[in-house]
Amino acid sequence: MSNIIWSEIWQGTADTLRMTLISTLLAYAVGLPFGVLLVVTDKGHILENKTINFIFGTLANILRSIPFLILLVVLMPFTRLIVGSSIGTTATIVPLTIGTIPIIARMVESSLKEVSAGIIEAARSMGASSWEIITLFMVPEAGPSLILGAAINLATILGYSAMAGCIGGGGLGAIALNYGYYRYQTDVLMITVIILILLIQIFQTLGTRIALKVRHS
Amino acid sequence: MSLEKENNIYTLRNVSKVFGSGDTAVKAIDDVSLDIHRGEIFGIIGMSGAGKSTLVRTLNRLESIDEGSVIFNGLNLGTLSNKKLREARHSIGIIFQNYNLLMQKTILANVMMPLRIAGVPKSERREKAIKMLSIVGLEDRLNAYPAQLSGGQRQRVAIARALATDPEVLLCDEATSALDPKTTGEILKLLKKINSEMKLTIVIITHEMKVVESICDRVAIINYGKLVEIGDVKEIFTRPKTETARNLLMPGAGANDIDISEYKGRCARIVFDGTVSSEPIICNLTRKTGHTVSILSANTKSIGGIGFGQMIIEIPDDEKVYAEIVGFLTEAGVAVDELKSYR
Repeated sequence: MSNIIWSEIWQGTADTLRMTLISTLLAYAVGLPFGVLLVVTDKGHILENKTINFIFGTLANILRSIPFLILLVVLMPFTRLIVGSSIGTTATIVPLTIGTIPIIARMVESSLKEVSAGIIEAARSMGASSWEIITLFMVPEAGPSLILGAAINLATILGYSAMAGCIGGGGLGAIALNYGYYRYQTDVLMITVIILILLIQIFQTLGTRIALKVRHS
Repeated sequence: MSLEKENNIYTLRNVSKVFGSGDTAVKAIDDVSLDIHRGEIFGIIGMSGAGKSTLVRTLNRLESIDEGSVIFNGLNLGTLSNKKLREARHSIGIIFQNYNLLMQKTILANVMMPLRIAGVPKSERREKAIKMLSIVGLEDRLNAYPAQLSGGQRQRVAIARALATDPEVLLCDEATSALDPKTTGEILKLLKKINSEMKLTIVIITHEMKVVESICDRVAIINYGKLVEIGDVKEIFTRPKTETARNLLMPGAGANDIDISEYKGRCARIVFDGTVSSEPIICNLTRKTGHTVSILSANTKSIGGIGFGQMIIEIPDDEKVYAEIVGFLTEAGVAVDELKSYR
């Protein structure tokens, strides 16, 4: 066990967490409104608009159908443009964010669709504007479901961040590849896998707990 | 005209609403004109699918108006801008069959919601919401969530919420249809109390005759999107002019319950109102004409102090006898309808 460089593992864990959390936040900043847009422009909804719904629905599907590893490569020039480099943890945040926006948008969409039409009807009859219907009725009512979705998304992004290790991203994925795979250090590989499992376990448990706590139905 | 405007909270003229288009188009509302008077409890009754829910939704334009005009307090709802429409909706409360409460918010927060949307200052919302909840008898459950309440309690919260912005009218869309008879009675009592104490106009959509019978002043009968009959509840219940009205208002002694093909004679429904119900009419019939009839079904009740009733009778299958019996009954002021076949 003497050849395990613990400091690097801890650094990798911190990098992974940083990448995951920042990417999730950024992806939600875009994915949440994106998901809302998909719902409210749908047929029969408050801002029904066939064209916008079709454009954004198609965009989400195209982005989602590109394998993440390919997206990493395709986005390299764009990443370099934004952060000045296409390798390292900060650079990984760009494709991680872009790759998960459509996943989040679809997840948000399905959570918001659980809100009953009756609630929206009640909101409209109170004289609520579309903005009020979204912010005061739809999003709060879908709250527990949105939180559960966020826990799943965090786990997905964590997995993607490890994948980014293949093409020069930092974090646990890179350590697992560089030490565990290329240098045949199975113990390092195992340790990184265990840490990843623990992280996902923590995210999922926290997400479920919070969702249960805020759910009243 | 000005008097009419003052007396009518709603004036509907030739309102039509079509769902779908082309061959599959369905006229959910077909050329309906009616007035709803200020301060009354107005019932709209019809079988399910008759278009009454669509009709009530045109009263706050949850449903767009294809043709005709819905005038609320002098405002033509169909032509209002979105902003003006949202303002008008603060004056139109509505409650639903499924309550439609926010499940993730306390009942206090639920009742505060319309106040927030109406732009009531934050400091006043809480106090007003508590006042509304005490009117419906839930002042001790402020921090409960809807899931913790019974159906009747949830509908009370919905009523408090609908009344929070001091509307001029309360629309009730099958508000008691999901409730048991006892709870229905309690909610109706509450609505009646609100109507008389707050001088609030109430429009009730229902398929239950009992609801109309117990609290409505006037009633409109809707069938296949058309207005079939309208008038005072007493008047319509005692002298229903149409078959639809009779079937709807008196299901307890309706042709629906009797398979007339089982009987050899001719079956007829006779309807009598308070003026003749005190007379032993069937007995007199036998004495005077010498013919006998058998009573297959009878139903009498008191509505607003006037007894009325109806019977399904079997008359011997003989043209002359039949004519004599019908002649006697008609002369006695009783409406007679022959029941042709089982529906």
